[in-house]
Amino acid sequence: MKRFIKLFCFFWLFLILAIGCIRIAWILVTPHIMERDVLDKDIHTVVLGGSVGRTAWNDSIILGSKNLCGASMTFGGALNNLKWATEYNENKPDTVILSTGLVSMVYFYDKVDVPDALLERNEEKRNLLNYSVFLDNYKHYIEYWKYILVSFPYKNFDAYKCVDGGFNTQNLNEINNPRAYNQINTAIERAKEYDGQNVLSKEYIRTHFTYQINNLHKIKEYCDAHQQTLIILNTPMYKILDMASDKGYRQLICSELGDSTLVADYSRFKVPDSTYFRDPEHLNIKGAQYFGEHIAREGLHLQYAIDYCK
Amino acid sequence: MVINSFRFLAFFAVVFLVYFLPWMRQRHTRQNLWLLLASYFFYGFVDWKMLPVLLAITVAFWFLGGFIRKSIDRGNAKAASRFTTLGVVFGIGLLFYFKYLNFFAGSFAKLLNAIGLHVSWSTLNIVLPVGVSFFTFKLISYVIEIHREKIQPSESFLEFATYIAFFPTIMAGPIDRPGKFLPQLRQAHQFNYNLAMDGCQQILWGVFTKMVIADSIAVITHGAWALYPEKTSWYLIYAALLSPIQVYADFDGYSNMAIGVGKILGFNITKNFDHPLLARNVSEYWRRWHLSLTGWITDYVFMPLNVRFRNWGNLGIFLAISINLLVIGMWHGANWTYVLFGVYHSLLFLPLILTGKFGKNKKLKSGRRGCVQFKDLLGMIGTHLLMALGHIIIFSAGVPSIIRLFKCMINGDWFFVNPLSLLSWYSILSIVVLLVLEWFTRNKEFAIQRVSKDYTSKTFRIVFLDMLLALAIVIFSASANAEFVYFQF
Amino acid sequence: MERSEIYEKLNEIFCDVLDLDEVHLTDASVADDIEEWDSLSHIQLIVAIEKAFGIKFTSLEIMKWNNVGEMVNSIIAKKQ
Repeated sequence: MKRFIKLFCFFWLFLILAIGCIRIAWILVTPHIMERDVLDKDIHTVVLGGSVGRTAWNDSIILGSKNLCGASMTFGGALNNLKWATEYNENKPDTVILSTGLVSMVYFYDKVDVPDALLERNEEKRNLLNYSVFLDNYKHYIEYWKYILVSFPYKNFDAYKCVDGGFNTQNLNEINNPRAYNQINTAIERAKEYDGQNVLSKEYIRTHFTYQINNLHKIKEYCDAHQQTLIILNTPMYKILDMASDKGYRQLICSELGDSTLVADYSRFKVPDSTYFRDPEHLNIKGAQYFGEHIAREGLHLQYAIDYCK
Repeated sequence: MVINSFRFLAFFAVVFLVYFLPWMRQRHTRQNLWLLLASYFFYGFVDWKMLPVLLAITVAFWFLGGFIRKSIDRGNAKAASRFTTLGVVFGIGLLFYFKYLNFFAGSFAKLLNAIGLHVSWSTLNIVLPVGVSFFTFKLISYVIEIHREKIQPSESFLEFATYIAFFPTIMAGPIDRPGKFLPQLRQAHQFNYNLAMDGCQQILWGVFTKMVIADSIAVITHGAWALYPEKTSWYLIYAALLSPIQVYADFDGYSNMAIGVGKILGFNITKNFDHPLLARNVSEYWRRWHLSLTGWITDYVFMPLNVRFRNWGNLGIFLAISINLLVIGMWHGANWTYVLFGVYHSLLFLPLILTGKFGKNKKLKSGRRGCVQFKDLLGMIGTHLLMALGHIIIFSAGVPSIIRLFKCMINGDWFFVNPLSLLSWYSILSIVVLLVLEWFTRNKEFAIQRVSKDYTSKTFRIVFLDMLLALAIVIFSASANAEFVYFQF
Repeated sequence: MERSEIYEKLNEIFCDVLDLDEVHLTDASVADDIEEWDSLSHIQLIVAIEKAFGIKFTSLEIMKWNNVGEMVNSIIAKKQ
């Protein structure tokens, strides 16, 4: 048995040394990869969220803001981006805009029943999903292979550069394409599933999208802790679900985040016509220009959540 | 705590060192007591609120076992049956309560609502205790085996409680049978160097398959199950095809870790997988997949049903298989997708039953130069495709999601297109390595297992290769929980 | 009925159901001894045995058998 223990200790010692050497060598050889980019000094607002935020918010028109949204980014990913923006920059942003909406809420990360065997690793799987969502969309921007030895994405990844690419450069208009209604139809079908009525209640959302809700809370807590103003943003949509289906989502925002949460509801924002949209939920570059100019001119029109959820 | 974590390493180091202290090695009762304490600590670490429940159920079943034996000794067969039935009902009832109550009640309420009766069922806040599916099965098999007079009830409560709570397997199996496990608790364990080395090899292999292969493919498959509306058709197909490999690498990895830990302590834990990727038809697949579970269900559900339906020919067999697979499906969780999964698999058995190939168990032989034969390969690929389809069913969040997923696959090519490089080169390489090794090491318990004497004669060679493998795991592990592999320097 | 008579008949039944040329069953024979004897053919054997001897076993009895000897004991018990 002594031999076994000796071998075991030798094995672990070797491993630790080897990892240490590799890591040090890596740091020495590739310093530029470990450098983190920073936000410009004049950035005081960050925009977080998914694809709807990515396409709608043009931060070269709305000055002083930085669009850190990303395709299919969950609230977990948004939280990571927020942490990066706040903790790894000299001046932290004082305003945090979270772009969300019924369609994107319903859409992300269903409560997936995992077999009992994997139940305890549920949290890991959720983290993994978050990580994967991040990677999945930014892999081709950041030459992923360079990061195989890097641990936490939000610490070492160049989030700033990652989000620069993407759909702000797309001017598509698929509003007449039936496939374009995929995301919205998913939301409508989910609403129908619940009690057969067209109402996606807050209970339904709360029980089925706990992952999103939990991270939503974490974002709010983080903002409170760092004295940042949190604003919930609903970007313009072409097809509006009826008020009834929206209701559950609105009530959810109130009940989860509090009546005094600020909301910028632009879901029914009037755009000249359908050519400003990429698809029913996303503006295209022309639409982002229009929307951006409006915001830059008029500022964000805010309301308290308590009015928003009536 | 998971087995592949530093916490577990620290925990196990303590358990191991104390377990093999000279004073401990004198009496099996001392070792068992230590194991019991360690197991309860382990379980409590994860879910301390369930500890009293675990203890109470263990006590209840221990007494039940005793009553059944006494009834048999007195020739009172009826009482014996009654006690056994009580045990089975109690065990299943527990499982039902924790896992399925919300599902059944909710579905039932929906049904009533659909026909006009307005009932409301707000889901109870029932917390699912970890491992309940596994230890209740151990308990049920205990009473049934006593009733069938295959084993004697445990005279020592200590021994029985240790069997039920045995920490390597309490969370995720394998499900040990009392007949094979209890005797191992009746003698003191001396340290067995070769067995312990074999255990370490097995743990290392499990860590490799889980952390390098499973966790990197999980990125794809979980992306598909959760975010299918925005994935391209090819992504979804790709994910479905990779899913059987992912789940196998994950579960087999974890099982290997558990079995390896058991071996270090001198225990022989039952095998859970027998290279299921080499299955040539559905029947063979179930003879290679999650053996501890399917074996349990075969012995306690399938065989009794088969015996009952024995005069109904093929229909009887089909009925027994269907119920069997339904149970297997529903064991996984409470959702209609699991039911559908069971139905799907039982339909896959239909052609086998009708052509009489169902019971046949042809040995897998190699062709020229030790490679797989072409017709076998076709069978393997075909089975893999069928399993991939089954995975879409079982991993979707609900039945509507399944339909939606297929719709997305067909309507595909949507937004957020990412056709290239879904997996990193080393992930693809490790999958290829896995598939090749599965074939060439098909007669071994796990890919890198050695003949027992090699562990003493070729120690340094083996340890050297192990260190290379460990380095590869560390470098290529895709886990976002970096604490395990990355020390924060 | 004599034990040896039962064994004669059993050997016949086994050869018939399992498609064997010949078999020599003893009290200690178990399923592992014969390759073709698996859980499915086990059921077929039981059906054939019940038919041949004109008896019916209970499920519990069938589960309890550990070897052919115990099965034969059950047959004898049933025939009395």
